Amino acid sequence: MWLTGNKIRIVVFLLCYWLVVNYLVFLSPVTFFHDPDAGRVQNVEVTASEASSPADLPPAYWQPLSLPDDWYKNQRRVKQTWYRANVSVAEPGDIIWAVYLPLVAHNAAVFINGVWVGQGGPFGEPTSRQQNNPLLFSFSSALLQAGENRIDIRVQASFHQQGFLDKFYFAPASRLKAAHAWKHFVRVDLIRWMTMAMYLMSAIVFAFWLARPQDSIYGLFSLELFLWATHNLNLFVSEIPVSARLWEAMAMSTLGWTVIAMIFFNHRYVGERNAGIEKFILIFALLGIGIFFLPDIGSILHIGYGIWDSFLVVFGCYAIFYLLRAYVHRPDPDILLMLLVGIPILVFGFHDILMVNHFLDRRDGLIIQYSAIPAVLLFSWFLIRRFVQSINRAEHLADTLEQRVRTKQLELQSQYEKFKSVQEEGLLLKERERIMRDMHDGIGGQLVSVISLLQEQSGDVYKKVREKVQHSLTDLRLVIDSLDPLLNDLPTLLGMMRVRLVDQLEAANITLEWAVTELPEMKNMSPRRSLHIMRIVQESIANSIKHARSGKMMLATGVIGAENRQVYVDVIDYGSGIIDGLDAASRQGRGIKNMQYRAQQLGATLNIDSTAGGTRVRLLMDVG
Amino acid sequence: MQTYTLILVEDDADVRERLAQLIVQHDSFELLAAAGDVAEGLAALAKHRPDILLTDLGLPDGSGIEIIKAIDEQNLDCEAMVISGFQDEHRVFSALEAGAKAYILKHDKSQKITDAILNMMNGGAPISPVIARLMLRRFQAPLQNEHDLPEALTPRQIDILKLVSQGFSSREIAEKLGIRYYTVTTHIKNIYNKLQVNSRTEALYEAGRLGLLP
Repeated sequence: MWLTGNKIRIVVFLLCYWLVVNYLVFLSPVTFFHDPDAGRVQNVEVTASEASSPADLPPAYWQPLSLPDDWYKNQRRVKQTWYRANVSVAEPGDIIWAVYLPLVAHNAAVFINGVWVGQGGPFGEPTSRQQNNPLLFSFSSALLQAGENRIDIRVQASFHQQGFLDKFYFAPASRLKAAHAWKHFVRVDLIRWMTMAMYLMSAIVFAFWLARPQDSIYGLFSLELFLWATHNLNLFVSEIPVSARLWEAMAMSTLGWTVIAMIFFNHRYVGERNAGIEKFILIFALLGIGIFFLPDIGSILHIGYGIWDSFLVVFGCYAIFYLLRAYVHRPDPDILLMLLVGIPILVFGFHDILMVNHFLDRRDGLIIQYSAIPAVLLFSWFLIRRFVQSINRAEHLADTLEQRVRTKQLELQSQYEKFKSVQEEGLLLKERERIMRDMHDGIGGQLVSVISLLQEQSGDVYKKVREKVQHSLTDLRLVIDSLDPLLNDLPTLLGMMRVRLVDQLEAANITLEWAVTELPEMKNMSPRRSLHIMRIVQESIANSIKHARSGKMMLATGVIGAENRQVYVDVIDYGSGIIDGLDAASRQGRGIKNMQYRAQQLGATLNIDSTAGGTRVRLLMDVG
Repeated sequence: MQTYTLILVEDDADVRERLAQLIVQHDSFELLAAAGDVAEGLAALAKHRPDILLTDLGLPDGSGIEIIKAIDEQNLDCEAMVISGFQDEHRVFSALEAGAKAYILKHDKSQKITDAILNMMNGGAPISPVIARLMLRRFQAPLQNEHDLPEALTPRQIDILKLVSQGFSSREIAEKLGIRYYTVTTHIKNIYNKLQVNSRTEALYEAGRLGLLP
């Protein structure tokens, strides 16, 4: 049960979290980048000059200055400035020395005693952008002399307000390398790899979206990753392919569009869309294209940092409050996680906006890019999880569907078989009826009439003729019976035979013991098979009548074999036995041969056991 | 000795003659009329109101079943018996549904025929394995509106029908189930009655469904 108390607790927790993030960002209790412990140079002389080497510098107009030098604050309305410092070296020794510039905007070249030792990148239009890149220039001790040495640094900015030189370091390279390597890793390498990963992820998610265009959050997340990664290019690409003006416009607009894509993503992921707000920020996003058309960097910085970024702060706040409200409404852990990664984005972004607007020390550097790490990881996990869940669900559905299809298929098959058998049964019955009618009107009716008339006649000849005609009629009946689908049931078939043969048995004065049992349903029964069985039983009974002398006979059925899969029909007489009564040639007589042939046609076995006590004819059939 | 009045409907003149002879000669029966087709049969039935109707099924102008049905329609106290020439169980079953109580074979011996008629009047009911199967099947089938038929078989009746379908005679069944022979035949007769009630209900339902009832 989610209680109001819990909601308050969560809101208070998030507030504390927000305060902690603010404390860590703005009061920086932890120093991330330690200064080298040697060779710090802070006091310099400065002069504005377009010269490209120290030799071209005018001797005069040098002014003393304590670094850092923020051109905006010091109102340096130029694009290039030279810095000069004198450092004393007791003994240069035979080692590698270095100058380490932790922060310079945008580009710098370093000269030792008038000799060039390195530069960030090419000067000119646009100048190389090293503002996020710590620079280390190593050189041989041969350039140094014992005592005073002169360091000249040429600094160029894309735009006069953006120039900056932090205090720098001059010392043996070994004492500066560690600080430079760490800062380079955090500021450049890490961001470069992260950006590449974001582009890759963006491409993968974009492919997902192409496969499922109706799932718009994949498209939005891909766009968000792409925009943010593109914004990050500003942090490590030095040699830009376009003018500094367009590059600044690109960096500024992509940040804004990232925030907007994020809001759209949130709306869809949480599931509560606000069409009015979406329309408003969409118009705002379109206006962002205007940044590219501003005439110069000055106006881009003014409008971008002043107006565009202010809106971004508002949008960021909206995104956080939107998530908070959604969470209070529906305490979904996913939304809580979104809040936990969203709050740093807002605070880091706010820090950067304050910094670019000169409210904070520029030596801190931009930090919003780091808030992308947890956000990208979280959202990637969300989407991968969602994708996996979809696959699982689809697989489950497919399984269920397959199961249902299989069941349905079996149902249909059984229905079809039923239908087929009903149809066949119907056809058989019709055919049987036709034959019955033919028989009734034709030979059958005549035979019946003949017998009927003969019933009233006495005398041996009449009796014999009557019996013969009676046999013919019974034979005819058995053939017609075999067409009856009801006789697919073996006990019923035997029962009907009993009815048909009762007169014959009575005439022979034989008592028939009936020992038919319930039997498993025989598969593949057909008129042809029914007739084979009837003929075998009929022949057995006829033989028994001929050879049995006890006046008793038995017909029995039963099941035997593995899992009772075999059915037997026994005709047993208690007479003298066929073997005793017949010679070898007769034993192979036509009757028995016929029975064997029919058994073979049935795929059944016919056994004849004859002893002095009687004969048993056993027909053994598989149930099928 | 009780005498039963009887009418005979049979189109085969020779057979009709023979049957008429053996009925006339028997003390228990009085032959009121011998007809050759349905029309004559119906007229004789209405005119004589006999105790027994003995009818063939395949008649020149229709089926003997029509005459059997007329007994019920005219509320007559008459038992119908089918003369089956070719012993077709399926046709006999239709007659049983219409209300016939027994059947004989034309070519049966005289003694057998008169015994069968007397047996019917004494409450006996002949049955064959195929008819038993048809009964079991009939009582299992629900009406088309999926309501049960008004008359169902008792478990005992089902047992009896199963044994009949396996070829056992009524006497053998009585022995197997440890009941009296007459109990078995009474059960069979009751099954015949239930069959007729059910088929009448079905016919009414069918007529209602087709809008034939007022």
